[in-house]
Amino acid sequence: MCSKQSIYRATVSAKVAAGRDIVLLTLVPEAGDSLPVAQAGAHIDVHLPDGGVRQYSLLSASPYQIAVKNVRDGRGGSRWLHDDVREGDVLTIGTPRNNFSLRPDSSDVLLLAGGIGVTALLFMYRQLTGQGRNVHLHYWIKSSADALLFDQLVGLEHVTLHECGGRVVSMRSLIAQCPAGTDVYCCGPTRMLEEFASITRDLPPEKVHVERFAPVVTADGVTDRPCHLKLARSGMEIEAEPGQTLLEALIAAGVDMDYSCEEGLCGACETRVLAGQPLHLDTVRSPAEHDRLHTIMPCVSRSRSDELTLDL
Amino acid sequence: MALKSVSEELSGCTDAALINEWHAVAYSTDIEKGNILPLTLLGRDLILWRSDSGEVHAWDDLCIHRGARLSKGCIANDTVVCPYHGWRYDDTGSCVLIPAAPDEKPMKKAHAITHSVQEKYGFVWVTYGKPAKDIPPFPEWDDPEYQKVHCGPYTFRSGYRAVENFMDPSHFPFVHAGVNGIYDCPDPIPPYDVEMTENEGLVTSEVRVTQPYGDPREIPVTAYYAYKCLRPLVSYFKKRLVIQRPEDQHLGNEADRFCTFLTVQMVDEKTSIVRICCATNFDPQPTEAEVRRRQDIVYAQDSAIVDTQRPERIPVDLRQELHHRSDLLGQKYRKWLQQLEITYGVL
Repeated sequence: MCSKQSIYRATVSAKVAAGRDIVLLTLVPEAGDSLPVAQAGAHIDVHLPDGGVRQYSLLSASPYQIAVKNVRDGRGGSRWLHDDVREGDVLTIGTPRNNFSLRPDSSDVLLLAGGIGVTALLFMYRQLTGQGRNVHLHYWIKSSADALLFDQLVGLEHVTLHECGGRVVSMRSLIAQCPAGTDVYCCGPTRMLEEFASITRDLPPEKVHVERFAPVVTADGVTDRPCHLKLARSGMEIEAEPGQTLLEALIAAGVDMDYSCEEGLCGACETRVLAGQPLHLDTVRSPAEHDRLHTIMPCVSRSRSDELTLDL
Repeated sequence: MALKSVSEELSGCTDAALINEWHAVAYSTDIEKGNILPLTLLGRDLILWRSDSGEVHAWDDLCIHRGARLSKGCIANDTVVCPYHGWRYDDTGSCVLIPAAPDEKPMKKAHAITHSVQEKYGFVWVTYGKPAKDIPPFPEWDDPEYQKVHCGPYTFRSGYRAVENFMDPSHFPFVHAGVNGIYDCPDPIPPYDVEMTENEGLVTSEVRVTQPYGDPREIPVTAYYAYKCLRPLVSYFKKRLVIQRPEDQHLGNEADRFCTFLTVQMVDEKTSIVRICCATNFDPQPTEAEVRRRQDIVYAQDSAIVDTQRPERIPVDLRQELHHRSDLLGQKYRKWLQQLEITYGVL
């Protein structure tokens, strides 16, 4: 059962190293309280002292465990969890949310993990093997030292570790070999997810499951670039200034646009791109899907190129 | 001075996209020989009647003589008799008798205002114009494996909001708690695709939901909905069902499907009548009463909420309400209404 309460306080009962630059945090409810039940695939929000919020997949639900990779050039959430948070500290966390749940009726399950993305899939693996279900976990790692819980994983039945030096080369053939009707789950770095999306394009959508934390965050500076917009149908040319979304620039110029959420979540403002290289920041479609369809959500997405030509 | 004709005065909706469309306005079983059925479609009052040939006729509810309502008259000798001066119209709509001048041949202009009618899938369909497309496909109707059960009619205010609601699985846990969804554990709706097709309108990929008693068997199922918004006021889904509990497996099998073909008669801009036909190939099949009982519950739950939506005239400009990715089908639907330049019942 899900709970309507959305914020919980949880004590860090253990903090242990679980791989190079990876810590495993065990979170238990404060005395007299309880945490909501979570299913494999769920993630929780962790609230940061600066008011920010980060999402981490659960590795187990009883107790909650999260694996955190220290992203040194990130926005500071993982650095704080690594460097400042100690056993006994109390964290504010959100209700587990699950956009990546296991289909209860699947016969064969293929789990494909890269990097710290293995967290949710390892939870699924343990649950499925516990139920005696047909499952195989493939985990691509740079080296044994970079893997999450390498010592526990090595030699496990139905687990294959691929030391690949960072390149996921064998995914296509693995997916091609799996029996028809297999449910395939993937979580890993953006590049792996994009490749996964292109490999699984022709599989039935209900068989393909991806965890993607949203909205996508870009390296600093990219969203602050100006962009020159050419509108192919009206012939208008518009400058999107730094700090202004493409949608805001279009509206300011008087373009009659469909839009609704203004956060990359609804898809109302979807527009065709005729030239230029968009930088996709919405969660409605994967970047690979956008590139295949030549579309962009101008309410949040930006441009990699100095100029974009839109079908407006 | 421009003269407004009687026909203009009484015509109601004038949107080409709705005029040139087939509208389901009754079940075939509603029309019995000897009776006149009055109804309103798109703000225009009609009568339906079945002549001795078995054909159904749809005419304006109006005697061309002095504008009295034919629906207040009667059927006699395979003619419609006007209640006011007894003028009689045969099944082609021609006046065949003016009792005040029984020996005269009635004038050519003494003719009912007739509209095209078809009976299909157990519904009576009427059009005011010349539809470019035929009544949309309902493949299970001709498939003897499927049992067909007509349910309804259900009244709603906005016909478009009723259609949109029919195609919206994210309301199940709340409006149909304990029936089509679980209130305390709503399903996240994973991204699904919507494609615009030539004859089947908007077509989606499957959307998965958990249903504690998702069909007339009243057992927990995982359901996969594939929607087709066939026309602005006709929609359809085909639901694939997977029985959840091992001990219930004997109650069905993998090939079981539950389909619904939904039609909306827009009476006026804020009044609509929904009629549906459910098609099931379950083994064993539920009884017709079981199917109807469940549909009656679900549509009563729907209309109780949908009729609170304001404004009743649905805003088709996406800026006017807030949408989410999970509402993609509804978004595409509104966009479609906008592209069809429909103004009747929309904002």
